[in-house]
Formats: sequence, structure tokens, C-alpha cells
Amino acid sequence: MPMPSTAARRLRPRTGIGGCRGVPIAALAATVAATSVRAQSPPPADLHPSKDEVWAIVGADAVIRPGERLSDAVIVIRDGVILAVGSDADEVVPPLGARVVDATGLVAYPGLVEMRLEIDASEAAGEASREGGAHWNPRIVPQLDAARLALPGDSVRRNLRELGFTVAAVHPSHGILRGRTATWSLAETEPRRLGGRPMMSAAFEHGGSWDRASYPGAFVGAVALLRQTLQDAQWHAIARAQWREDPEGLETPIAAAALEALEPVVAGETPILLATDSELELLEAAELAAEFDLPLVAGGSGDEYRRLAEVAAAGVPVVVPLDFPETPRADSPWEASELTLRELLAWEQAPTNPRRLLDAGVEVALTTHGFEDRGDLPRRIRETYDAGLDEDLVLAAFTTTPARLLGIDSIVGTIEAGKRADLVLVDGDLFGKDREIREVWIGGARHRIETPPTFALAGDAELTLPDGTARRMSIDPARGKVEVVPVAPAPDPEVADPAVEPDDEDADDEATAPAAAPRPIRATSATFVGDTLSMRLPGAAFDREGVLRVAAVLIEGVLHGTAETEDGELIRFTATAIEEDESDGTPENDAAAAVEHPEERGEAEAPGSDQGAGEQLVSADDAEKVVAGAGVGETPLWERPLPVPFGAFGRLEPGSAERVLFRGATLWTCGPQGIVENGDLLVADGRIAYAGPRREFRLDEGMRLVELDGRHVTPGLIDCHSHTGLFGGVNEWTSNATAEVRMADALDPDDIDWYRQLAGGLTVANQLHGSANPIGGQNSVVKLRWGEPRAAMRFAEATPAIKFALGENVVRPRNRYPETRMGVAAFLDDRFEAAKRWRAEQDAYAALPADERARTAPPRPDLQLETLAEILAGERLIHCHSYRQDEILMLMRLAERHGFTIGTLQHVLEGYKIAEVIAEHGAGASSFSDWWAYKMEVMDAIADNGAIMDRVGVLVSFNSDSDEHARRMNTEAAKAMRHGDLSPERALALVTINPARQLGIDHRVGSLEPGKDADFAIWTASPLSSMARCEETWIDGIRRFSVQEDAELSRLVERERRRLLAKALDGGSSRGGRAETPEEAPAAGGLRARGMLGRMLFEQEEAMLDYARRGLDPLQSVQGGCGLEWTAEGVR
Amino acid sequence: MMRRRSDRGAGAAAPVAAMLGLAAAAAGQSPTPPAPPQSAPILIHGATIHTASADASVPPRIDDGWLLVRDGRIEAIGAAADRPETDPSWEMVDATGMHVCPGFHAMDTQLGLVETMAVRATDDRRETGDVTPEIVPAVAINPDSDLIPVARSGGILLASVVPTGGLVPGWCSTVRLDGWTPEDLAIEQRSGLVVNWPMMTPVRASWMRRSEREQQERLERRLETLEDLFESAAVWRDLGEDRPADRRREEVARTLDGTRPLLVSCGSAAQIEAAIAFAARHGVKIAIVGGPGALECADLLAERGVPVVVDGVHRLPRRRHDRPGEPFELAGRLHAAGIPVAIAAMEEPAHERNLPHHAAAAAAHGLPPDAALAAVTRVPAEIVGIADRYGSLQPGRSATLLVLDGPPLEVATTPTAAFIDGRRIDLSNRHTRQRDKYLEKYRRLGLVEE
Repeated sequence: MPMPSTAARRLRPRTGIGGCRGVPIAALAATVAATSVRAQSPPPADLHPSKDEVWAIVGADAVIRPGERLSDAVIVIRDGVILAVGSDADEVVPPLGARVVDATGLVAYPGLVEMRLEIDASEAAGEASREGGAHWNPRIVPQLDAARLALPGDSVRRNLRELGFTVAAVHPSHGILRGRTATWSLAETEPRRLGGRPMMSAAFEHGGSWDRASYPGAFVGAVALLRQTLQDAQWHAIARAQWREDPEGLETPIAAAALEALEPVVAGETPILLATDSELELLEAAELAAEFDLPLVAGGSGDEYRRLAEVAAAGVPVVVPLDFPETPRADSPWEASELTLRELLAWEQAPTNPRRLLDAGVEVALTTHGFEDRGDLPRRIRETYDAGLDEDLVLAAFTTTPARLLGIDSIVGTIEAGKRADLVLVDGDLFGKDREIREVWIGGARHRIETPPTFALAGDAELTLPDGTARRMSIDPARGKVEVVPVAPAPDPEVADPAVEPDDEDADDEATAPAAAPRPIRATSATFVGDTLSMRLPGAAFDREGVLRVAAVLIEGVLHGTAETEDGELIRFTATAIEEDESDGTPENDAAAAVEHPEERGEAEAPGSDQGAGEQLVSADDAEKVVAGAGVGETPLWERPLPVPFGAFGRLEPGSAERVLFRGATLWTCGPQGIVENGDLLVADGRIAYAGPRREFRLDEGMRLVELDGRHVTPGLIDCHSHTGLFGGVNEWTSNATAEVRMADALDPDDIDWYRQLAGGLTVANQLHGSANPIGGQNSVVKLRWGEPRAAMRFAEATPAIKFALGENVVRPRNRYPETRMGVAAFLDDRFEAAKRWRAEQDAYAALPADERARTAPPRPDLQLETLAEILAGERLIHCHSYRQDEILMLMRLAERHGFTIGTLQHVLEGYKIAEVIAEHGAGASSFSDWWAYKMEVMDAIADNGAIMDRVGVLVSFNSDSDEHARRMNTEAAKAMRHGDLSPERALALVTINPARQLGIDHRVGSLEPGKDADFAIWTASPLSSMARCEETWIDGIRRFSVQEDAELSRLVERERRRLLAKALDGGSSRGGRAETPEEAPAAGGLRARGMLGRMLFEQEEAMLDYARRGLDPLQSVQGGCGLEWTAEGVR
Repeated sequence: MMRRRSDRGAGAAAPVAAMLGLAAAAAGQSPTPPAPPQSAPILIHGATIHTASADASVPPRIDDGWLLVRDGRIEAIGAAADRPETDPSWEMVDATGMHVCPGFHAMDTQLGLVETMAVRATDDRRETGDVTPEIVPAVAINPDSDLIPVARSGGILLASVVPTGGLVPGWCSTVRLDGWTPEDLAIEQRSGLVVNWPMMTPVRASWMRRSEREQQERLERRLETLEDLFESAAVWRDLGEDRPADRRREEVARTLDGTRPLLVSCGSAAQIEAAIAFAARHGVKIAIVGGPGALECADLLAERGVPVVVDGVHRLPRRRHDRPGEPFELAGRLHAAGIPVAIAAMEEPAHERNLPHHAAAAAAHGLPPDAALAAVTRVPAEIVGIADRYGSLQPGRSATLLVLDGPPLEVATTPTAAFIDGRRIDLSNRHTRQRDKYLEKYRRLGLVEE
């Protein structure tokens, strides 16, 4: 329902009750028609509450919507709905008969909306997954409806109310598709469900608390399951629609409560709220949503600022958490040396995340999700004030934005006539330091949060004892403070009662001051209840020994007190206020004035103007000096450019393609020209324009000449077997066939090992699934375009492929078919037969005449069989992990029976035994240079393997299978000269043109030939010498690494680290707390172990500690490991 | 065109191996018999000799040099100009155009303690328990391990074998890699006591379950354990003849006279500093093994002359913000700071043959070539106390050396002959036998020449 703007309303005449302007109350009631799940109300505890009570909140400053503030406002509420809002100027006055709440000195805000409140739905999810029509996977329970689950408990609602929240969207906590959300009011009694637009709650859940054997165990599996389920839902929707059209002629669609619940999702009616654990997961979520054309709201991780441009380009609203990292703690230089730039920079920059997102045009809602203690909220909000947010932006992100996303913006989010009376009355700024939330109104129900003392005597009073002596007394009910100035000088501080705290003067000054004035004596445990006061008062105040027990009551401005001495003497006293000129006499204002002068604070609009934030600003200024010293200058924190990838060696701007003539190098072309001494390499528009003997080029404008003086240039090296840069696990090992899994979904462009491998001349990597199951996941071929968007890493021209695996690894899990090499053979055969049948069904359906097709339910989509069918059709290669000759033979024969050719045999360490068969079959072989003996099946591996296969006619490459080896593939290749006497040229081909052929990218890379991508590396010596160092690595004509730039970046890194370490040292105490677990291991190369992998790792903690103790990263992938290093048997 | 390099030049054929055939190969038992003792003087001549000597009278490098070996020892060494008169009974090794250097010494290895890591029954690397100084690898090294001839063919002739795991896992045993029995192999059964120094700062990695406080408490307990162990060993030693039998204290007491070093495995500067203080307090000798953090306390190491075994040049940088080249440069920088540097491969025992490539990578990144060679020959011998016998080529030292077809550390270089104590070593191994067997297959099929 569109609401009239404030300006429009102001022009209207005052009508009806208390300025309710023409909006029929009945209509309002309908708007707010909250559906209560509990259809009945409980019997009232006593008398029925008055239904039509009218309230008027007067005197407050009202922030009616972010950025718009009315002073001295009147808010009229009836029946839970705001009837009118205005100020005196609008002539809005409390209607007759209204109960008036005097909120003078307070600020009224719209009630806050929490978008992500998880409630434990484990039991409900378990039940739902066992009911008829449930999905086979217990993590798929979209049929759950938070509206029918328990509403948020009393303590959660109370906890949220106390922070100013009035509404929360509730999400079930378990699974991948978790169920529909429901939006609840947070009232203490009779909380109501608001209508609006429910969402489908989802997350990339994997591994973790679920049964170990249950799919998915890795992030890639979670994405695949989500993708398959959405396709199933589309399919099922079609089948149902057809059946509805013609219920007689068709078979009933399968009972599928889960898929039915997804119909509004795949139809684009219900948005999906997908919780993400990193900015990379968010990007993946956005791609998935685009694939299915789903409206998406991302549950953010707080890391979005790290790839801001990409997140912004995704165009997805983000619900942003505020659980920023705590100040890193490092008390010794050695501890400090372990703190990475990435961790330090995250500490500084994480609070800028919301502001950066907003500046980039992203719709941002904030959430308390992620807090261990929601009480952290105000402190965290104030941190965002230092990082570019202000109260209005925060307010919008907690009111209007979430209300819009939840489809309840017509009824909540602002204070305006016609909306629910959801508002917060605050003494101070909503998130200011020392602010007090006084009242929260929810649907017109008043909740008192903090009631200030109503004790009406505040300030200075004259206290009179029975003996007629008078003492000055000062009373501060808000702070629970009472002081009495004795007649006699205070006793010597050293013998004073410990309860007597000297005031702010220094004791020494006191001692030296002649004829010191009596010091005020403070009462302890002064308690104000209604009109009464009780306290303990040191006897000295009344010239007595010991401590007095005091009770007093305020009657008509006179305090009547009784003090009891330790020996039982009762001293009656009275006290009356000392009249002061400025006091207007109303007790409430007196009290308020004595406390804080909130009116003044209310006028101060700028965030951080209160004392607390002011202090923070001062310390931020100090930090700024350090910053300035480091040359960062005065740019606000949230405007400073951030490197991509975030942290060390990231780039502020992506490089650009250059036109360069490299002159005088030894060119290892890996093409028909062989090795060209003293050659020229011309690079233009990202491609190689010329590579060959020296030629006279005319240098035109914009072309750079680089004299290489006998250096060596090779094509960029290519690694045909890598597990680098994959997050969330490389093995979806929970199932024996996982062809639906795509490694590209888990591509981590931030992995620092990409940069390290670039530094070794590597330009292309074949990211493979692990080797834990016979049919693994789809591969991902990437170019090492470090510093570019995630999507730009993909090498789209590569032939699609999939990882298979044979031998020890796949038969290792016990009690799962297959457990033997024989079973593997039968299993693979069976899967291909299934794929054939599936393809036949699909083809048959496609071949139906249109009218018949419209009446026929389509065959079910199956990503796994579809992938296998692509292999059968020759559209997808198999890269198969294999060791022994028997299993290699088996696979090739199986392929031949099914009419396709194996792409590459990976490892293939007994390939030398059947090289002629491999050559005849036409499979490539991608081997280690010289690894052996780590398993029984590699006892016969020999270092001559690659050379023998090459000699017999197999297309051979060497791969790394290791984050570390991939940095020096050139010397790996050189081993084939030693073991097998390959010529240098032929040896280098093992890591350039040969793997390029195997991956189907040899038309683009792998050799220095005109027209190919300008991907190459420059070496100080023959690339096959141990003494060679890589000086530069280029991809697409852009320099991605150079020794010189590396040194410059390294200096910058150190300067930044020093700046941040100094800042952390400086700010460590003000923010307090110890550093939380960082988002990555100091030693880790960017791999974030979560889910099942994480759990496996935990079980190996002791062994991993032994690695860490030696300064090694236990999570790095190593040769022969294929992600299986950490197993029940221990280190591989 | 494939040639078999090990059959060229001064390379030894492998008649005995051929005779024994491949029967033993499948059982993981090397069929190669140990070399017989040197019977006649050997003169190796025409080679570029890399002596790795620290002796001022011996040049680090002699072009076109010769080397005379008698009774297992180097009798003399020199340049072509003063080559001795030869006797017909001498064995002449023409190494023209080749290189000669001391045999490589693998430090921090488990060679001989494990065959296949995936098979528990073949894995003797780690004893149960945190403090087991009674563990001595020399009694369990399998001289018939198939891994040993493969390592030897890569020039690894000496090894300092250590057990893994725990706080004090046991002794380092230094062995020669040829012999009939473990006793034949042993040079020093106890050449250093291994200490795996605990982490001094809490791990905050994703896999760590323990809180920082728990880690701190555990650290303190483990440091107390170490302190206790050495203190009580000293008390035990001072009891003299009346002392009760106590295997563990006896073993630890062997280090207290300062002859056998503690080989302390450390990752960070904090560990290194603490370990040096510990050794100083107990009056024991110390060498650091591992040491990515050594550069941060280089002054202390140099000042006290503590050597560092750089454990793996081919390793990933420790921290995300370290330059990619940092691990390659570490050895060179430590050397430049005046610290004696050895290099270990930190590879699986099966891959020890890659040790010279680690040294080569260090040489490519700033470690002078002679120092790089010394880092895998002389300095390891100095650390484990056998430098008076092994590790460099000079008169009086054991003739444990290599003849190679290229510069000693280059990845494409192959040792063509090897001598341990003057005995000419058979360089054939499981790999060469498998290679020859299947080349025969392809010859019969007409797919390869020869």
C-alpha cells in the first residue's frame, strides 16, 4: 500500500481523531493483518486489556526515516498502528483521551529489523527428511516452513528487543535448502507473524555436523547438489503442470514435497537467501542464481570488500554481518612476524565493508548474525562509524532495506502514519556509547527496557541533622550516586573506610594544601526504588564512627531520612533541594538535566559526537599519524584502494597488455622452429606477433624495446595436474561417483600459491578433483591471471574434462562398492551403460512430435549421467589417476568398448610397461618426474617412465600435483634428460606444448608461435639448468610477475605490515580483546579448510602441529597426495 | 635417441646385479651386493675436482686434477702438472671432462627406516612416546632397502638418519650407504640427539582446536619436561659408579660432555632462541635443523657459531606475505651472515636423490657454489662430528666420493661412479633394472633402437 509522503501529509487539514488523516482504520488493520500461527490467544491473566487504547508519545525527537528527523514530535498510536506523526508545526497534537507518554529528551527511531535470525531446526529437518516425498538427501528440506516451526524463544526476542529490534526474519538452521523463512514480530506476548515475502533459506553446507559418510563432503558437492535439485524442481514443475492439464492421460508425478516446495523458487517468485562463508562463495552463489534466473539475496560473510567490484557486478543485495576481527595481538616480534598482511589488513578494513558495498551500489542490510554476543552490536556499529557509515546509513540498513527485502516495507521500517507502531525510544543516539534504550514499541505494545529512576530529587540538596547542623548532599539517581560533604575535614585517607573514595583530586595535593576543604563522602550501594532511597554511608559524614545504614523517602520534595549507626542509634534527617535558577521545577527534567543533558546530545547530528566515539576518533587520529608517516595520506579508510587479491602481492589495478619487442634472447619456441639463438619476440594485443630469428623491426609508437642480452624465453609452463586454488575441499569423496561436481565452482583466485607459481614461470594449471572415488569431478583449466576477477582466471577454450581415479585410493574406503580393482572395472562399465540409457531417453523425448512432447513428462535431468554421456559423445575428456599397468589397460579397453578415447592417464607410473598400448589407444600420459615408493602401487615407478613412453610414441607431460613443485616445473622437466636422455627441447616440451595438447589448448598456448597467446617466461639461464631463475612471467601480453616488481611489492608489504602492526599496538587496548582465529592459517596458502576436510584435519592435529612446528603448512597439496594426505592412517 | 648414461665413461657395469636378476625386486629387497674392499690403489684423473675442503692448503676447486686412493683413503690430490708416477697395478679412472666431489650426505632423513609409507609394517620411523632418547636408528636401518641403491645412484653416499615425532624422539645415526649389515653401515651410532622444539607461539590455523591458552599451557609443560630430563640426567651422571641403571638418563647424559650435539628441529626464531638458551644452560652443543626463522636471529647464531641445517630449499614460503624466492634465498643469506650452513632435502626417503637439487636452488639464489656443495658434504659431516674422516676431499680423508658427468649439483647431472671408503659402488638399482627390462620389451617390438 503506497503511503503518502511526509510533505504531502503536512499540507492536509487535520481531521478525525488526533490528526489521523483520512486513512481508514479498517484499511490499516488489514495492512497489518498479521497472521498468527497460534490461532487462539491465551486467556488474559486478569482483565481484558483495552483494545482501542490510544497512545501519544510526545516530546521526543523522531527519526521517522533514515535522514529525516522531527523535533518535539507527537506520535499517535491506536490499535498497534501509527495514526499520525508530526510536530507542533504540523499541528499534530495528542487526541483527547490518549495516554500520553512524555518522551522529552529521548529520540524515537523506527524499530529495527533483523534479517537473519537462525533457529535450531535440526529436529524438524530430520523429521522432514524422513517423511513421504522427502528428498533423498537429508540436507534438502525446502518443505520446512519457519512459520510452522517454533517462533524465536522468549530470551532471543528479549535479547533483540533490548537492542531496538522489533521484527526478525527467522531461518531454519540446517541443510543446503533449509526451508521458507518467516517474519515475526518480537513482542513479549503474542508475537505475530508478518506477511511480506518469505524467502528460501539456503547455504552451501557440506561435511561438518552431518554423518561423515553423507554427501556432500566438500563445497563443490554442495554446489552440485543445489544445482541438481533446482533442475529437478524445474523438471517436476513441468511434469506437474502437464499432469494438471491432463490428469487422465498421464502418470501422476512422483510425490515430492521437497521439489514442490521449490516451485515458487524456480519460478522466481520466492527469493533464495543463500548464506555464504566468503566473498568467493557469494560470487559462486550469484553465478548459480544467474544460471537458474533466481532472485537472490546473499547472506554475506563480511569479506565482500575483498572483491568489491565483482560482488557489485553480481547485483545482489547482501545481508552484511558485523563480527569484525578483533585487534591482532602480538606481544613479541616473533609473534608479530607470524601476522600476515592479509590478517592485519582485514582487521583494519573489515569495518569498511558496509560502506564500500554501499558506495559500489550494493543494497545492504545489516545483521547481528555471526555475533557470539549480540550485545556487541553498538560497539561494532561505532566501529563502522570510523569506517564510513553514519547513523542514517546504519539505520537504513537495519530498517528500510531489510523491510523492502522482506516485502514488509509497507508496514514497517519507518515511523509514519499507517505503519505498525514499531519504534524505539532511546536516551542518546541509537548506537551511541552510554546510550540507553528506554522503550521498544512493537505493534503498539509497549516494552520498557530500561526505566530511569523516577526519584524526583536530583542535584544538590541541603541535609539537616537533628542537631541542626547542615550538610551539602548531592544526589544523582541516574548513576546511583549520593555524596555528603561532612562538616569536619575528612579523615586521613590512609585510615579512611575503603568505601570512601577520594574524588578526583590527588592525595598528595590534599596533604600539602593548607586548611583543606572537607572532602565529599560517597555512599555505597545507593539504591533508588520509586520514591525511596537506601544506602550505606560512611559515618564520618555525620561525625560518627563506622558505617551508617540509611533509608530515606521523598515526600513532596522533602527527603525524610533515617540513619542507623553501628551501635543502634537512629539519626533522623531531612534534606531539601537547593533551588537553582535554571531549574524549571519539573522533577523529571531536573533528573534528566542532572544526568546527561540529552537534549544537547540529541541536537548533535554528527555520528561520533558523543563522548565515547569522540575518544575513538582521537585514537584513530593517532593511528592516522602513523598512516601518514607511511605515506598512505589522509584518504578515508573506506576510500583507500585495496589490492586484489586482498593482502600481500595483490594488485591495485590489473595490468594492461603491452606492445613489446624482446630482442636478443634464446627462444625455446617448442614449435617447428625449435631453439632460436639471438631471436626476437614481438608481442602485441596480447598475442605473439612474431617469434624467430632476429629481424629488423621498425619500432612504432607505443612499442617498447627490451634487450634480453642472451636470456632465455620459453612458453609459459603448463601444469597438467594441480590442486592449487580450490577452496572447501578437493575431494567429494562421500560418493563413488561425483561427475556432477565442478571444480570451477571452488576456484580460489586468492591462493597465494598462484603468485608463487607465476614466479616459477607457470601460466596454466589443470585443476583436478581428488582421487578418492572412481568417478571424480569436472576439471577446471585456469590461466594464472593473478589480480584479476575470479571469472577471468578460467581458460574457457580448454576441452571439458573430468577426473577419474583407479587403484589404492578409490578402494581404500571400506564397505563401499567398489573395494577392489575388479569392482572398479565393473562399476565404471555400469555407469557408462546408465549414461547411455539416459542419453537415449533424452533423445527419444526430444524426437517426439511437439504435441506429444507437450503431453509427455520429460525424462528426469541427471547432471552425473549427463556428464558421463558427454564423455561417450567424445565431448569431454577423462584425466584418470592411475598407477599400475593392469588398471591402465582395463580403463583403455573399457573406453574402447564404449567407443571413446581416454584424454590423459595421470601419474601413470607403470605406463612404461605398456607404453605401446597407450600410444596405440591415443591417450596422453601425464607423469611425475621421479616420484615413487610412497604406496605399494608405486613401488615399480621409475624415473625413466616419462622418457620411455615418449620414446615409444606416447604424448607425455610432467605435472606437479603439488603446490610447491608447480613453482619449478622447468627443472622437473630437466630430470627427463638425466633419466632417459631426452634432448633439452624434448624435455621442455613435457611442461609446455605437450600438456597444452593434452588439455586441448595447444591452439592458444604451449609454444612461441605467431597468433598464439603471449604467455611466456624469461629465464636467466637455460630453463633446464638448476641455476636458472625466472625473471618475468607474462600472460596475454601482460606482465604478471617480475623479480623487480616482486621486490617492490615486498617493500610495500613490509611497510604496510609495519604501519598496521604499529596501529594494532596502539589501538590494542582501546578495542580490547584478544585476536580471534584468523580467517586463514599464518602458514596456509589461502586454503580455507572447512566442513569435512576441516574435521579430518582436526583429527590429525598432532601430526599437523609437527608440520607447523617446522614452519611448514600442513594443508599444502603434495605430490601423490591428491588431497588424501590426512587420513585415518595418519600422514600419507 | 636414448642413451644409458650410467653405462658411459667411468660408470660401473652391474654384472652381479644382472646375474642375480630381478627375483628380489618384487619383495622390496635390493639384490645389489655391497662392494668389496678396495684391493688396489685407484687414480682418478682428468676431472674437475671440487674438494669442499675447509683446509687452507687445499684449493676448493682443481681443474684437470687427480686424486689417489689407497686403502680406502685419499692419499694425495693435485693438478695435472704434478700427477704421480703410476703403477700398472693401479686402477686408473679416466674422468676427463668430468667432475669429482665428495659423496652427498643426507641430513635429517629416514632412509632405511621405511620402505613404503602407506604400509605400516614397513614403517619404523616413529616410536610411541614423547621422550624416547633410547631410540637409536643404527640398529634398525635395513641395508637391503630398495630405497638405498636409488639414493646412492643420485650420489647420496652418507646419511644421518633420525627418528620422527615426539619431543625427544631419539638419536641421529650417521651411516655409509653400503654394507652387509647395519653394523657395516654405521659410522656413528649416536651422532646427535634429536630434539623437536615445541612451538613457542600459538598456532591460529584453521585446523587448530586448542585455544591459545591451552597451547600456552602445553608449551610450558613440554619445556618443563625438557628441562627436567636434562637436569636429572646431569644428576644421574654425577652419581658415578653407584648410579642406578637408567637407560633414558644415560642416553641424555651422553650429550652433556659437549661432544654430541643436540640436533634441534625449529621453525621460528622464537624456537631457535629458546633452544640456544637451553643448550647454553646445560652446556651442550647445538645445531639447528629446519630454521626458516633463522634469519631473524642470525646475529645470535653467528655469534655463537651455531650451524643451521636448512631443511628443504624447495619449500613454500612460511607466510603469505613472504616473497616466493625467500625459501630459495635463506641458505645464501645465512651463509652471508657467517653461519655454517648445511642443506637437507626434507623429502621422503625415497626421494633423497634430489638433495643436490636443493643445494643447486640455493646456489642459483645467492649461496656461493662452493658453499652450496659444502652444505651437502662437509658441513653435515662437521655437525655430526665426522668431518675428520668424511665430507671433504683432502689427504687422509675417506675416499667417499663421486665422479659425475656434469657440475655436481645440476639437475641433469648423473653420477657415473661412486666410491665409499675406496670401495667402488654398484650404481644399479631397482629403477635401472625395471628400465632395462622394459627397454628390452620395446627392442623386441622394434619400437626402440639398440
